[in-house]
Amino acid sequence: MKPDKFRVLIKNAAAKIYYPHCLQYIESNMHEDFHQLARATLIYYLPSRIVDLKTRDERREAINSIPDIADPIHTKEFIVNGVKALWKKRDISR
Amino acid sequence: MTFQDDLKIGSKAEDDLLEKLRQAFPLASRAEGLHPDFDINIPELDKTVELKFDPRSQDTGNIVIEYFHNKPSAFSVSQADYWVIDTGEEVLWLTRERILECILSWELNPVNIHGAGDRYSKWVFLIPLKLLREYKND
Repeated sequence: MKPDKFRVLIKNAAAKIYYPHCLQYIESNMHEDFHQLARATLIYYLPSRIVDLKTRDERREAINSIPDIADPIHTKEFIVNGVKALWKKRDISR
Repeated sequence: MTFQDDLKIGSKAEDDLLEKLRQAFPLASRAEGLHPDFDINIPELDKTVELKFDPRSQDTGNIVIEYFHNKPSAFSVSQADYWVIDTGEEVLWLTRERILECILSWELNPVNIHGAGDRYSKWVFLIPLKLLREYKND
């Protein structure tokens, strides 16, 4: 798969917002050989989608949909830290 | 440059950093074996360090942060509290959180590169050094 197409698919997966839905998209739209890479890359696209959610409850629900133990190992920590970092940036620019 | 060359140069950079750290923290030690979690342990601070020696950044202007090499690697799996980026001319100390903040804030996209001598291609972020400097912790 070409990198450009891969990135588009990951962005589409991240647009599903809730982690199990993101994985479902990946599994339905990519060959199995790319699933682990896709999960490792999703981490970098999901935080901005979660930050864009309108309410705190929606954001919390999205974060809670990520299992504590996932592959790669730091998945939840990365996404939570990413959401915090983007939220801080948004707060500063307001 | 081969993997072995990179390993040799990286090892020398680790020795240099370790020597400096030991002036303040005599118990600082290198991780034993091929350790994916960190390179240097500083027991006095209960902190660990991953060293990234990237002299090529002086030519390219980018620091290469690898996160996938046939499996989650480097940035994806490191447990280190600090990443030390050594360009050969300057040394930046950053937490993993700050590197992640840089990647996300600037909406950097991962790229696929194939290093000489590598069996598998790597997925990395090429982070402009001038951006990364804004996120350093020191």
